[in-house]
Amino acid sequence: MSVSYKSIQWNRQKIIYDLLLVATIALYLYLFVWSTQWFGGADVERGLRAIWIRAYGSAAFILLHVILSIGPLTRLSPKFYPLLFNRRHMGVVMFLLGVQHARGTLAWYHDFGNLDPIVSLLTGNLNFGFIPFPFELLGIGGLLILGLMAITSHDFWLHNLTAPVWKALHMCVYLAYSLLVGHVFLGALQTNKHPFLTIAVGIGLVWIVGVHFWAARKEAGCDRQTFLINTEGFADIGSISEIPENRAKVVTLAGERIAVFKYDGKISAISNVCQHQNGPLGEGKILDGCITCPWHGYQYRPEDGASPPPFTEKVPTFAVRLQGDRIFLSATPNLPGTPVEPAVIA
Amino acid sequence: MNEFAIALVEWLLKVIHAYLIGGLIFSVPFVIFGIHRVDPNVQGWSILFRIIIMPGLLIFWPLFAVRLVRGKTAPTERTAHRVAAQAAPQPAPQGGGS
Amino acid sequence: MTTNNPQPQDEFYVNYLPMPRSWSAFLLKFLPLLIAGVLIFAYILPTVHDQYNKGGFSKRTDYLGYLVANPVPHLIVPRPGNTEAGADYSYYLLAAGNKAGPPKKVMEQAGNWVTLTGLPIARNNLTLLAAFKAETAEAPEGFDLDLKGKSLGEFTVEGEIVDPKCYNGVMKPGRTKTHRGCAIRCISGGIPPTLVSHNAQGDTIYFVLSDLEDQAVNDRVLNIVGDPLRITGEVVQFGDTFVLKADPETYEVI
Repeated sequence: MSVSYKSIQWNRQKIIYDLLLVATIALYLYLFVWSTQWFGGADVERGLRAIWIRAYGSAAFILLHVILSIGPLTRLSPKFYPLLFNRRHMGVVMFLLGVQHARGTLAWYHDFGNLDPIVSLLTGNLNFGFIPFPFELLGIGGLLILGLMAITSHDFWLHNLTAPVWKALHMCVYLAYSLLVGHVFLGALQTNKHPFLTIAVGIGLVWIVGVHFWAARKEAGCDRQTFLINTEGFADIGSISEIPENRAKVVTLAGERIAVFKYDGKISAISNVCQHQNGPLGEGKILDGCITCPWHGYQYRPEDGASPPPFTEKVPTFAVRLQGDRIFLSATPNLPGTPVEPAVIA
Repeated sequence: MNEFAIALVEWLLKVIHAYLIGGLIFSVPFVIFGIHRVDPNVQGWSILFRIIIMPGLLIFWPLFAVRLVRGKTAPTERTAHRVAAQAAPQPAPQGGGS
Repeated sequence: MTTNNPQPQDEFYVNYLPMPRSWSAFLLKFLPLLIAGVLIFAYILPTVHDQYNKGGFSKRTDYLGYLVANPVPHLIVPRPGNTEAGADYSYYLLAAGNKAGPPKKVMEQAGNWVTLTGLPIARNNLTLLAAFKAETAEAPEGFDLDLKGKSLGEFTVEGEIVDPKCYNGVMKPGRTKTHRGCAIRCISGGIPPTLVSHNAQGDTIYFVLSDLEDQAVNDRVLNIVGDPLRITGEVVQFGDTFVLKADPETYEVI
């Protein structure tokens, strides 16, 4: 981000995305409460606050599964990319659902007693055995991580914490997920022993772990390749014909992936890591003469790895040579933004 | 009731409270006067933007306090390629295809 | 440089550009399925949740009864009319309007006949009154006050300690793990801890807990609230209510 920050950079697709998201959640909450009253009638009419706690909690937990699935699904098919670019809003909404769940719990179960509700929540159950474990603490842990992610979701934070730190922080979503699975398993599932709930949480867990392994297996192939580096410091990384026009081949060299693009009868190579959110540039495409990141559309010129003005992002570039049909790639990166003459295809 | 646990938690909550109050005291003037110096990308006076980053500032305010004092802006990320490029002897902008 | 995509089948998407047609076609199929899949849970989850029972509260009422402080605060209320078939009085547990035992001002009159204003909170045959005030009253004529109860002998029962205010009232289910934090708060506040037990026929039986010295066990059971327990002790019957007398040290977590 190099032009002035905006609170939110709205565009038509983001608005559609958010409307669908909010409408689905509103409908979920409404249906949940309606369904409870439909089945419970007078039994539950005075306990509506507890029903809302369950509605918010379950909505947040289901949404978390959706959020965690998007990343690996885009690895498996690019058609899922339209769900990815605005995933941050999904995360913030999920956090807010969690907050409502926690606020409801705090007031309903811990207020009107002989202790401050938060102190009561933290000290009420101190039996740390496996099944009696205070599942509330796991929920608080998960919520705190999601909170840190939500409050740092603006691009201001991406820039000021730098993308790797920001990403590391946001990778903690997996820690949050495990804490929340524990929270549900040691909480709701202990009170409601209906097999449907246990099976649903189990399937969710297997799905999340499975889809990540599936995507990782697909990715691993790329990083396993090794290239022989010749005396001049160049490696033969493949033939020109492997790369579709305006697209890239991704190879791992110098400890990181490199995107080697073919466009306009030329070959250029830049580091695969977008400076915005470390998205995979090699899965991007040349649009308007610029390499365009598939995640949020950040652009870099293939010749020098720099974003066109007024943007100031720069990524490392690599020298490229051609010998017949073979592409030789320098194993030494140039400083970000260093111009490199593209290799011209004869 | 475990009196020790209660006392400990009450004390911890006070510490967190104090940290957040400190963050508020730093952040309000910071988003108005100091933020442009730490991040030149902040241009203009968008209030909504400042409100959106406020909760994060309450947590990460010491980071910005240090940068403000040292007159620094955000560092550039360190990836394997960036580190290797720093270490490598840089040739003059060179041609490929040769 | 070229601005056109020379390979129309080479689809690519960034959010500020139009979406390739085949992608939007895919999403038009995928998103409704996803949304429907999510909404199904909104319908099913409440049905598998243990949250339906007839417990609840009714209207604030004045009760004429004998106020007793031990082992737990309770009110002995003579039953009107012909009571030959059953007990001639009710044993109502007492609490306050919040997560606490009955107000001090009420309990100062323990050992007296009072008119107590309270909100009855009942589930099955267990009733607790949220007591607001009590005024000294005349003893009713012809009622034989029984403070000793009838010992039924020693029994071993299995069950779970709940706070009868939430369990009886609007907190569904008001028991087990998710309710533990709340029950701990209530019991530490002075609400009489009660054991919920189920016999082989599935009937629910309640036992008000007392130690061997006829004192409340509140502060000694906080760590095992909501856990499955086995308690062996003397069962004493007061009207329709059972009091289980045992040293809390001997409660076993199953």
